[in-house]
Amino acid sequence: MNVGRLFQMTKKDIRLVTREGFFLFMIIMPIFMSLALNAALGSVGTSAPTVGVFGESELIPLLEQEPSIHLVTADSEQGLRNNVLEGEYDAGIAFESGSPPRVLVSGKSLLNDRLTVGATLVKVYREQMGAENVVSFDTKVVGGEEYPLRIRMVPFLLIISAMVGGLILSSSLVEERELKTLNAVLVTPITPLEVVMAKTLFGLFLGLVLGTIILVLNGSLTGGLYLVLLFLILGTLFAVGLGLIGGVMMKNITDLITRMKIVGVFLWFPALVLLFPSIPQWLGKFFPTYYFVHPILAITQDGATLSDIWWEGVILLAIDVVVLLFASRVLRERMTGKTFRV
Amino acid sequence: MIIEAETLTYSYDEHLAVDHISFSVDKGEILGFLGPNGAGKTTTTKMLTGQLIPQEGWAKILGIDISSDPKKVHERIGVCFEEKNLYPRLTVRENLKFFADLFGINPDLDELLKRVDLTKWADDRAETLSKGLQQRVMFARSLINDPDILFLDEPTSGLDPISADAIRQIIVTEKRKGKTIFLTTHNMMEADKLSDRVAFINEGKIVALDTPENLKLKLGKRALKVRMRTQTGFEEETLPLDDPKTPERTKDLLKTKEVATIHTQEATLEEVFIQLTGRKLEQ
Ligand SMILES: Nc1ncnc2c1ncn2[C@@H]1O[C@H](COP(=O)(O)OP(=O)(O)OP(=O)(O)O)[C@@H](O)[C@H]1O
Ligand SMILES: [Mg+2]
Repeated sequence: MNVGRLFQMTKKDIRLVTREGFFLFMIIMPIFMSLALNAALGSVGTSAPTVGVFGESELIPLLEQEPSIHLVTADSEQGLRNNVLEGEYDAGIAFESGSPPRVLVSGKSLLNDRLTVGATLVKVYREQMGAENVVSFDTKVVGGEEYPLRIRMVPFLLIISAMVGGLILSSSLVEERELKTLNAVLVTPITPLEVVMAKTLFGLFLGLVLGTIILVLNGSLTGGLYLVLLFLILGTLFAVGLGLIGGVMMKNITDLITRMKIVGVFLWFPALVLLFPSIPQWLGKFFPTYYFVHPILAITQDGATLSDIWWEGVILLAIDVVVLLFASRVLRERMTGKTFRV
Repeated sequence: MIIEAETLTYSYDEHLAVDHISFSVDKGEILGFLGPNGAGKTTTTKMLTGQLIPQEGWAKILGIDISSDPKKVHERIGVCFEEKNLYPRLTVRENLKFFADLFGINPDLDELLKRVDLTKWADDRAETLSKGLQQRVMFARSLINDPDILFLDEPTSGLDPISADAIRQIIVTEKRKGKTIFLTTHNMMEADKLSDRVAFINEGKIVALDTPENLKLKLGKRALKVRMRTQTGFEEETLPLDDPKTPERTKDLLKTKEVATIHTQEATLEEVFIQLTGRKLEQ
């Protein structure tokens, strides 16, 4: 394996990709969709959570000065409750003289926002009452625990990002086979394995970068960074493995795109399930990409840790192994003794 | 021997494309590989360059078995393909540079572009070039690593006569530098002019292999072509030079007819080929 030649191959592939509108479109599409969603549905992740208050307390002026939350006053206790229920407020605080403040958390609010509200409240309370005081709130989650629409779109975008990595890999392989440029490349010192490696690593890299951008744009990359990254790598590896198989088996780009549409539906199904909470959620579990996107949602939105989702990781890893083994088999079978030898 | 091939055989599924062919090429030699469409020229080239593994037989290039150690051979050969396979969205220069990078070398690209007269198109994308210009890029690419052996599969096809001659000139220059050249063509003039030896290939088999002169001498017919004026126009008669009756007949014609021209006709490789195979080189 000669790293220099891998790098030259990748440099050339980047040039080719950036000079074809279709490839560029594929890369830009998920980013564009994220930005469009942010514009349409509000960028919850990036702005401060909205906190409604009702009642009287010396804490209110202090809370008002906190930049990490956006404080609004409700006209009635019932109004406060309703707004929290609808997700209009991420949280609401009802102050009553004599009893500790009651904190209502919206079931629709993001994990990140809940943590911010909690931390801000504790900080302000301690400033007021003295650091030694044990802080206790009466906290209640109001409304069904469901992710806001914006978050429910994230699995779609993640699957697209991973697929773009796989698709760039397969179209690049198919194009080189179709145009026979591969034949010219393979009578130079570069080995077939190096060619495949360069393209695979490029696809993987592209998928990972896109996936990370999607998570950042959607304000999801908060907690459990390494764990999210692990699932992102495993999920992208799955798509790249599929890309490799397609790149070896498809005759030309048109064929590839036709098949991709069919495979795409299969890959997107779990995202569809997660998008509509009314669909029985267990249906998603029959599809491989469920084990890619569900854990990422669980980590970023519910604060899941490895002990909660390790088994989903094991399943995804097993799927990866199967796909990659199959890919290496078709590589050997389809290309041995013809124009390509690994 | 720089190229050695022994009973090379390849079939695509049921179709036998190359049928137990053996030959060798010396250092500094140009071997013309001449045959009609579908004769198996490209398939042979692919086996010699490690793109296809022979189903029978073997080939040694520079003393190295191509099937067992192709990469060692690839360092030192240049291949010009029959089908154009440039990167369409890379410029001419980028196409050449990429291949130089794969060899890990840094040749003078301007000089190379000048040699094939492509300087004007250096920064144009390959997809925008005419077929003939693309062919010139293909040829330049095969020279990029200053190879010891050139495998050229119809390098002048699709070129205008001037460009084709320019390419032939470069082939001769390379030969003078001591390079060995395996030249595939179905242009018999080209084979005749350039080759030290010519191999005739037909239906996967080598039917003759010798210097162009020997082939023509052995098998070609030298003849006298007599053209005569008649009442309605012209009449032609071809008299074989080796025929003992020819002198008598010539005298006869000169006496009795109004002879317009008499030409000696030399044997061509084309005729030799027809004699050997019963088919024409170009259809
Ligand atoms: N990939 C392939 N699959 C099936 N048959 C093939 C393939 N390539 C070539 N053949 C067949 O093998 C035979 C030899 O083909 P080849 O390309 O070697 O001929 P050639 O002498 O180079 O012809 P041309 O002058 O047209 O380039 C032909 O009959 C051709 O139809
Ligand atoms: Mg050919």
